[in-house]
Amino acid sequence: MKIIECAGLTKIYGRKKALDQMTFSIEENKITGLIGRNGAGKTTLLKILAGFMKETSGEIKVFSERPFNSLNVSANSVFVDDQMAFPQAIPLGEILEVARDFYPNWDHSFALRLFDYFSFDPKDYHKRLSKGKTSTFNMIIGLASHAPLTLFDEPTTGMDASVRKDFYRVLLKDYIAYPRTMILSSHHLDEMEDLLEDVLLIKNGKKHMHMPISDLKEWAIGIKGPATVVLDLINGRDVIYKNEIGIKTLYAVVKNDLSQSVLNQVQVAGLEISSVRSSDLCVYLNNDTKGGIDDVFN
Amino acid sequence: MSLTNTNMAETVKKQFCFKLKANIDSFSSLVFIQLLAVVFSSFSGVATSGMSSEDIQINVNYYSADLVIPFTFIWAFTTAITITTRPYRNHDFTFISNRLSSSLSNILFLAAATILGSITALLAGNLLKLMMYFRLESLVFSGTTSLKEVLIGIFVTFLYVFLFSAVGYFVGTLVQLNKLFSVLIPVLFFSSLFFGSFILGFSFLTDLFQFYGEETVLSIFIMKTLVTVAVFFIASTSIWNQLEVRR
Amino acid sequence: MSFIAIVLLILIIIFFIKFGKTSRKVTHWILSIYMAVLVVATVLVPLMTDNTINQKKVDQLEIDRLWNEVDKKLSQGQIDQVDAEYVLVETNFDVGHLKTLKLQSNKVNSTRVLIERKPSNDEKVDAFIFRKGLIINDYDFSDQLKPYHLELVDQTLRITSSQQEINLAISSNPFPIRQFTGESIMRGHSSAHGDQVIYLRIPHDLEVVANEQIDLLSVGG
Repeated sequence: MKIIECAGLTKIYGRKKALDQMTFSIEENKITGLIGRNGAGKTTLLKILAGFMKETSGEIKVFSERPFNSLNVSANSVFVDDQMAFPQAIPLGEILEVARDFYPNWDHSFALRLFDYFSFDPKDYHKRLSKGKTSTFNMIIGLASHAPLTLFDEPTTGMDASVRKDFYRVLLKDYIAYPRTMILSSHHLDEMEDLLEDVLLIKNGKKHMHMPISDLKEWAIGIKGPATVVLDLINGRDVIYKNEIGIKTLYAVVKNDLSQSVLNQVQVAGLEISSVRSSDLCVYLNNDTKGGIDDVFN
Repeated sequence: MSLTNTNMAETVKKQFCFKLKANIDSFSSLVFIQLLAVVFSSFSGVATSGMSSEDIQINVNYYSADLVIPFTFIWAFTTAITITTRPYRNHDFTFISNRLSSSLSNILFLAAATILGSITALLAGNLLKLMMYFRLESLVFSGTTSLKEVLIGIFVTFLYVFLFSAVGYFVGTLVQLNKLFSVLIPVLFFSSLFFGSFILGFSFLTDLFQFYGEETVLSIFIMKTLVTVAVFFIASTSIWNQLEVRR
Repeated sequence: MSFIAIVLLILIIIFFIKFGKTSRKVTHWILSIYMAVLVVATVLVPLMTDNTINQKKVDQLEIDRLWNEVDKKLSQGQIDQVDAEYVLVETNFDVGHLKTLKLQSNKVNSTRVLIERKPSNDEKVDAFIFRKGLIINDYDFSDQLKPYHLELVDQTLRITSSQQEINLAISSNPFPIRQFTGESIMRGHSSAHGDQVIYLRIPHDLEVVANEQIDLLSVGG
């Protein structure tokens, strides 16, 4: 069953087109990573999915309903980011109880265990938490709600490395125990690679790519070797990235659609073939230029 | 995960309970503002009269909860505006909400707060009497108020305070719609206050006060206030139904 | 009023049950204490204010009419028929073999003195002061009235009225109630304080002399 269906979704803020004719759909019970640079439109997309914002044009259906102002969508989804608004007057312990009142699938003992594990004080107030603690608490709410659609927007902001590790671990384990549809947007794709099933890449508000992560890992191939040889090889192909390493050595990334004969040629010519890590690939794909920062120094 | 179907009534009820907890601080400001009014009233009362002749000089100071009630109006107005501001609107969407349920639960909250505020406002009159008794050296006398009068008093006070909260809610919603209103509305208000009588030959605000304040038939008064309240709340809710939650 | 106090009390109890499990914030305390104070005040106020005054709500016209009757009776010497509540002072003076009694009053306005000659010379002057009453806003405050002071010094009966200052605090209903009961903030804004009338029963042959300020009247009949 398709939880999310988008057709031609466009969102315009003033003069900026935050989302441009996005069309995709997401199936039930999958973890999808939402990858893109800052300002690519990830947060906008998530907020539209959650029903916070209205689309400017196009169609968007979550649980077969338009999410804006839908009580059903709100009841079955949770949006977690570092700006989650909690009343200043209610202490943390009680916020958990409020969540229990609202969310029908709320797992209170799970929430409490997480709460203790991360050393929260039930009498403390949300406003007084540090950045990392805020993200951690918000994550607890997001996870324990067991909402059929769980949206995380940069959920690890401010978390230190060990907390991030815990976060991924608990997310995976809980997901396995209680499968649901999750979308995670993050900058740390390298950390999340093992978590994700699908990847949705956004560039300048447009859908750039949407595929399972396993496919992504094999989508491109890296070729390294003497500059002239490499250039020759990639000529005419879709070059995703190229970078000079050392003197006269070139590293280039192209789409992995080389025929077997070409691959043989490459090996004979002594060029190095390597797979490209998904996180690196996403970085390259998201670049607007074909080169790298080093070009600034040239 | 199976999908749940929630209905509006349940959501509004949950949100209402939630708001009682979340906005509890508005009640402490209620207490402060009413106590302030009581203290102010105790200095000189709300009216005085006197007469003197050769043998006797009589000074009468009249005390009542008359000052507490307008202070409560101000409180209701500002509380209503506060709950329309962005942080408070966003609280609902952290959990389960849509714009209609958010507005309805806001209205319920305002109604509950108003009920409490009205009862305490009238009873504050008793507190004032008690204070006078201990504080003044003059004789304190009080007429009796029948139960019917007390109930009317609470009900009428409730309607007045609710009216102010409805106006405040509407003003707050307009400001959320467009920031310009936060300048426009005070400008309109104050100019009608000062210039209304010059330019237009009548004072808009006095007419307004008279419309409600000089109505002596209870049922008509109830109708006037309830209709006005309904208009403001419905307008606010429909505006709010379009607004985005930006967080 | 106490009915409402009970309602509030119930509210407080509900409040506490509901929020009893939640943390005791300052706000909870402030609100609860305030409500408790209001309840206490509502309960105490009827106990502390003088409700006997309330029962004496009077009608100005009736007061005037009754006083006219009293006045008539007094001028006819029928003081026994005058209701006791009009009597402010009842006293007597030993005048001995005084031939002439001078009356002196310190008031600027005239003082009314009624003289009744007793059939005998018993060397005593019985003095009564009758008062119309002190009505403020339809309430009878007559017992606050200070009577003229009567003093026999040498051969003069001195009538002194002291400057009396009465400060009252009257509580009235707040405007939402007044709007519909039609009362004004000063309920029945009226006040009247009648003069005091001095009635003397003098020995038969005693002569009475008074200055212009005293309005001397002999009781007829």
